Amino acid sequence: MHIMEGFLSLEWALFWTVVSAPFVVYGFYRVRRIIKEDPAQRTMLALSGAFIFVMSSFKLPSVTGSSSHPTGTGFSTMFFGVGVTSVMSLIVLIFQALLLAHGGLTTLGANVFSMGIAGPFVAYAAFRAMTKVRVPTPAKVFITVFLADVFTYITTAVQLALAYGPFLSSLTSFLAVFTITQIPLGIVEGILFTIFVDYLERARPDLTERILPRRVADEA
Amino acid sequence: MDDMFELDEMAYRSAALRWSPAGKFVLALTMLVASLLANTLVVPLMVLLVGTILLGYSVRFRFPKVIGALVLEGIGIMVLGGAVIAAVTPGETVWAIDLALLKITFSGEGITTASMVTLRALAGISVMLFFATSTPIPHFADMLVRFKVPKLFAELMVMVYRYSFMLLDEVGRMHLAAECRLGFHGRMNTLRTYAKMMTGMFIRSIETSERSNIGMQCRNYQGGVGMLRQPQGMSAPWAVLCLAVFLALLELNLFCERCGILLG
Repeated sequence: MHIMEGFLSLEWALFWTVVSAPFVVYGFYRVRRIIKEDPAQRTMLALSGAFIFVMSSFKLPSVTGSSSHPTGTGFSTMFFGVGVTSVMSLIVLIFQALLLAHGGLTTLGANVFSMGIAGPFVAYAAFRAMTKVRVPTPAKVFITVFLADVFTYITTAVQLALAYGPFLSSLTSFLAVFTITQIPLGIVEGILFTIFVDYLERARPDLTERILPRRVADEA
Repeated sequence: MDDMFELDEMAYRSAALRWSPAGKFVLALTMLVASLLANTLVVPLMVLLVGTILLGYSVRFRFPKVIGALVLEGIGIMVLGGAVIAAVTPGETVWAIDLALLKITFSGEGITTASMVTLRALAGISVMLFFATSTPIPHFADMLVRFKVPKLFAELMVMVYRYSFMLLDEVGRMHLAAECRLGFHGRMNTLRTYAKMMTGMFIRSIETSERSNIGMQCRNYQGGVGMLRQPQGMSAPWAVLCLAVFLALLELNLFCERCGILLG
């Protein structure tokens, strides 16, 4: 659930755009460097973006009776890092706003910050910490994906609470709504990706070996 | 996700396809910003009206089901968000719902703010759908390049879009096959099936990227997005139109403020 068009005043819309801009610029610099070093990565990055976009179309069963979709940023963070994820999120959010009426154009900065920066940043920090203390892969994947999802919605709740103060009571109300829908979704998405990585390890161990440990080594 | 296929086809058949993408985008953005700046419900209502007329023109006044589905989904989210905003805004209570463990109160100010926000969101959907139904993504990417956005970003955007269709096609086949094998019977089974589909899609996307890369190298691909017919750029009449619309909406807002009409 992204912030819809019209839900943020112009001041807050501009504020979140300005806050997100440096991260996206840094992410784009990373993308450009990756492609410069290996032009073959151009298609790989584009397909990763497409993969995230298509995956966000999966309707998962939720305990509230409705269905929700995964954000896909947990996966992207583990495989490509926070910088690339912010750029991919920007592209996916533009498509979601224009083609699926999810999110908006003036709220794009706020949505990029919650889905492409804050959630992935926390998830990636947790992922690195767990890698250092050698947490088993299934637990690591589950926690990373769960955190990316939950922190995305905590950030969204903060953004809405700042816009519709008084801050603490608004935050409590928005968090209460998100808790009902997003905590179960985060758990479901975590389980989904744990099974996914398990299948991937069995079907193409070379891919998980090649990508997961390499990212950690690169960043360390 | 079938919505995407339909919207893409619609954009290429749109009556407003030949209009300048940059002009349409700036006009849409102008109306959205004016709607955000307004203190009266009249301005978002006007934007909703103009957006709906433009959307109607774009789809030749034959509104397909996909538009209805997208608007209904948006309204669902808006109503939920609006209700929370109405509940959290402080003020004198005008309405209360007494649940067993929880009492939710709505203030007059909260209801007004929620109405304003919901109307802005509805107006936003109409304007964005007008843009989406009349502008194919490659035209949008071309517009971004004209606005000095790095070419690589626009190129990545078009590639992500094109590959999305390819993967969606693949996922559609996998979904059908899984459904035939009762793959979505029960919650845990559904999760396992989705995980298998994701694995299949991920492996297929990597293989496709490798093949696609070889194909591009064979054609000496140097980046950029080629188009058969280049869309128009931002012309002076479009700039004047956008400015006029913006000033007219601001003037309407001032007039309504002075007369105290539907203040938000």
